[in-house]
Amino acid sequence: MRAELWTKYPVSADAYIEIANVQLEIGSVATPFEYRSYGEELALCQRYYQQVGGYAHNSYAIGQFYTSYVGRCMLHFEEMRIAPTISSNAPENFGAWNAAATTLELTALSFIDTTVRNTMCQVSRTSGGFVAGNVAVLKDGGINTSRIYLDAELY
Amino acid sequence: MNNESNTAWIISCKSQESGWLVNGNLSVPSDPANGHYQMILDWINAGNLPEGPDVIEPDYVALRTGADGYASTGDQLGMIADGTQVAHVEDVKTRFPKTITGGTTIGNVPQDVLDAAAAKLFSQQTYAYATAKARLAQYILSVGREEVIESQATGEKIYNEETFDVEDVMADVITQTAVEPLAATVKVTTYDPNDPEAKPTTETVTNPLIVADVAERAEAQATVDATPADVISLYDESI
Repeated sequence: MRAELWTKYPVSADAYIEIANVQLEIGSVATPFEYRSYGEELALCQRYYQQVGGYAHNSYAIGQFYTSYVGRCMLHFEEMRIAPTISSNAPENFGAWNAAATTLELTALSFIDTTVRNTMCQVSRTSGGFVAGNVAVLKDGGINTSRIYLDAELY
Repeated sequence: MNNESNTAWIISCKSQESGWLVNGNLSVPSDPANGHYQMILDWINAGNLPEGPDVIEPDYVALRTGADGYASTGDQLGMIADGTQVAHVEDVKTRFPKTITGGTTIGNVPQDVLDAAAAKLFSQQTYAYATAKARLAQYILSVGREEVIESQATGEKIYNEETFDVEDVMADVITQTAVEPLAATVKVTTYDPNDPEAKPTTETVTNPLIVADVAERAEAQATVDATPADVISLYDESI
């Protein structure tokens, strides 16, 4: 779609036009412009896509280790259109607390049992370092580089 | 993440405890409404085979300390008191020897996913077959179409004095209009965009509408010919 504007008067190089309140509608009849709050717009977008992370020392989810190297943590998010496809950036960006409250870097991170409102994060560290039965906290690796992406877009 | 509706971006696909791990990074739930799950089904139907889930076999340590292994400390104290604890430990060690080192094997791909992929392929083939049959049922542009007239009841009734019956009043109705065949060839005039003064050239070519019609019919016929017999059979039964 393209809109073109002409003027018969000369304009300066720094002139500009502001366009606001544009909405696409089905059919040939225009209806009044719908004003949505930031919260409404955000909620509508989050039905289709969400990105989690972006805060220093972010803690994502809590759960339990069931071996010395694997644990599961429940992550909740805003309700989405469908059960989303979930991915993350490299697992090395994430960590999990051990019994001494030290963050140990992960070597694998995947997501199972995903619904429209939550997912189970499976955290793994091949060299171990955790204690079966202890609480597992999935968190940022410490330098705010971890991200989790939830995708429920239409394809 | 690739947003195109094709499967070329899928390099690997592994079954997880629930859902799929695609390309080692995307966790896709087994939700028919999820677009990536549908792409996985298409990927399977393109001849690719996903990897089954990891099946973790416990080692002797896990087995000896598991539900079928050593009794609790309290129970073993009781066994010591009645002299059966040594035999209990020996029994556990015999059942779970150190030769059981455990490991990870690859299980079978869940049958329900293979069934879902097959069902989707069947549905796609049925739709393509129905579309192709409808295209072939259209008249051929180079041949045209004949008028069809049928005798139909008008809704009025008349008394037949010879048979003493009340009969329908009939009238001829055109149920299909005639369409003349298209001209086999057309003349195309070409102008030189760089020289407005140049004399245009005219050439006679096969009617492009007929060319397109022939190509579309050939494509539809190829679809019909490639449709499996079970798809044709079920479709023909349903109409």
